Amino acid sequence: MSKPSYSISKTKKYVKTFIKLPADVQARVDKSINSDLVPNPYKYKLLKGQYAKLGIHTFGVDAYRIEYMIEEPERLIKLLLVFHRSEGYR
Amino acid sequence: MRRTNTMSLNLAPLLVPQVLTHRGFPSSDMIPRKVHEAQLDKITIEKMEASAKAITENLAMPLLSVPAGSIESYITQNMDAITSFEINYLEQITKIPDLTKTIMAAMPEITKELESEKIGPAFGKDIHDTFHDALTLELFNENFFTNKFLNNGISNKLDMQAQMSLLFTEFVGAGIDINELFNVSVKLFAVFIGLITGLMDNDSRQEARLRELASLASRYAEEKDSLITTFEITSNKETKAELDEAYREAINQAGQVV
Repeated sequence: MSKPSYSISKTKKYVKTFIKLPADVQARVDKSINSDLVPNPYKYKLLKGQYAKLGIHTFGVDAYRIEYMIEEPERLIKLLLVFHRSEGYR
Repeated sequence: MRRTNTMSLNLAPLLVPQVLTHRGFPSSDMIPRKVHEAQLDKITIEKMEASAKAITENLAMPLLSVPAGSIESYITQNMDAITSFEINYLEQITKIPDLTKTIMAAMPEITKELESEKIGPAFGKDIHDTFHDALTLELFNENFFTNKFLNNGISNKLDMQAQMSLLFTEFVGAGIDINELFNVSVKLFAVFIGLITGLMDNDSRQEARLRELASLASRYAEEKDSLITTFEITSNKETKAELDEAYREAINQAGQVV
């Protein structure tokens, strides 16, 4: 019997950052989470340094990055934050 | 063996270990012809062709000759030689004026060609899709790097070496392992070259190797993206504070499923 799919949990911070996104981006992010992230959450890498130790992964949708954690054995993906990656101009 | 028609493709990789520089792969038949004719003189084209030949022989062919399933171990075992070759190659490339602009102008066309499977039609679509996604991700990071690099240089009026030093310092200050970033960039470049060469040769007997190269490209591109994303988070106080707050919230959250 195959393992159950991962469920999604969202922090308030994730929701707060998500609702600021343009509607079309929100739709793309949701679609990618369901089609790419949920079936294979370990495919996407851990952040480095202190964040790797905390088990925080990063998943990209276009120029946006979604930071998340995986909780086992609950098979839960906790979405922490979504933000727009800059293009190097700062 | 049916070779892809490169005359109509005007293809070209690629991207370079950006830690060293931000120049691209020079093969004259891979550059969009209009850009090519407008920007590159005969001597430049000859230099590009010589570089393309060298990179095919020294990087692509070995990757396309090792037994399928052994490509990553081949890269690991030959990392010093691959790195040395790429550094030497990049030093040559940086002497060719306007090449970066030319290569970057060609990239959207290359990704379109991949998406539509005009390159390497003998292979499964999954290879094209995986390569396309890895290349798109790498292009995003390449643009970030190039912009950051140029921005530093312009705002501080620095020469190239000083710009690189400043950029390295910023990365180290953000807790990024420069060696890790450098190594993954070298590996990514090598597998991209192997992939694009294999796709253009369009020999279906290479299917297993190209599938392996595409998988490696995806993994290395994600690895590099995580390094640069970490850099962005740790070097931006606001984003860092938001992530730290979200993490604290998550560990206090009792598995509330939304």
